[in-house]
Amino acid sequence: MRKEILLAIFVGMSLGLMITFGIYQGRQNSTTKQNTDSNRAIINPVSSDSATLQKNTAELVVNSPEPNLLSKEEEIIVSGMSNPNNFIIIFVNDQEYITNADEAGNFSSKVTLEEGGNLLNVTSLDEDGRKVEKQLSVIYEK
Amino acid sequence: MKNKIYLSFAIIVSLLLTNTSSVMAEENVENNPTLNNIRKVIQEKKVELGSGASTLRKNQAYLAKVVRVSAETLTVSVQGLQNVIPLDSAQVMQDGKEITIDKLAVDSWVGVFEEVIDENNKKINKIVAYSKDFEPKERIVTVGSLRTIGRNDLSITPRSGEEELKMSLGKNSVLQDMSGETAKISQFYEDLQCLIIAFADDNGNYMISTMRALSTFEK
Repeated sequence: MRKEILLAIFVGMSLGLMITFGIYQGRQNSTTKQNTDSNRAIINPVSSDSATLQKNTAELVVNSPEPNLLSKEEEIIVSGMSNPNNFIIIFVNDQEYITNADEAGNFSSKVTLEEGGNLLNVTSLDEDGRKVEKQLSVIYEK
Repeated sequence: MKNKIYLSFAIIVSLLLTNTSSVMAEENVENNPTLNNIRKVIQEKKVELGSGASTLRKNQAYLAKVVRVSAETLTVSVQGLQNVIPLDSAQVMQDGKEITIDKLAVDSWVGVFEEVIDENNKKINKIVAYSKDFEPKERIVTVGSLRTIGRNDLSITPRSGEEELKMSLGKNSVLQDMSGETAKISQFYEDLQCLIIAFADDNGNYMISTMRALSTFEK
């Protein structure tokens, strides 16, 4: 009786260890594959919105205001993402607002709209004078 | 004998379950990359849905330049793209009063107010004619080093490698130190790095709107 119990424990442990090892190996392989994929993504960045804004190419994404905004508010927030520490100059018709993108490239500035049409131009300027612009319109109606 | 077999079987099964369940439990840890990827995808989809929903907001409006006017349609230019607007249901307004379509001049600016029916259908409700010219003035936005500076004019060498630019200073020119606080023209000196925004006037001269120092004043 005792001999059979010991044998059963041994067989159970062996089988358990084999299955555990199999699962461990499977997990290792999937993790390695994911790391390879993410490395590839860094080497060949895709041009998605908030993805990778390269240091040497001027980039600008304006998240707010949305296109074709009909605003009931006189003041709106212009925000988005550009290269880290870039100068961000926002023109609302001919009125300018100067701000800076932070270390992560995010920027945000409150601007005042004129009643009626407002042509917004957002210019991002890096320390070497390279710039990129985005234009959009907002209509403010009380 | 039969009892021994049952007992052995039970021990084998319980040991197997103990081992595998402990491995499975590890899969549920917070930093599991697969789970993180799933969370990331869910977050992206939430953002997608959010932005999609916002573009479907009921009322939208945009600024456009009139390209062509006919009895049935109005052709406008929006950032270089032309839109043909049917005028069947749209009301044309100016200064709060309804006007006839023939009052709209080519190259004038209008606000086009539309109601979003669904993702592919929009109904133009109102066209507002503006007397203001929204065409952006020609302007310079640059960073560079002050080459010369006088009371009423200056020249700057842009960092971008462009030729030296000459500009004028006027009573509306705003001068700022590096933190954006008001500064005096006497605080600026040659070789100081500056950010300059200037607009072209009617004579083609660039008048400085804002000049901001990019470092502390050392003189």
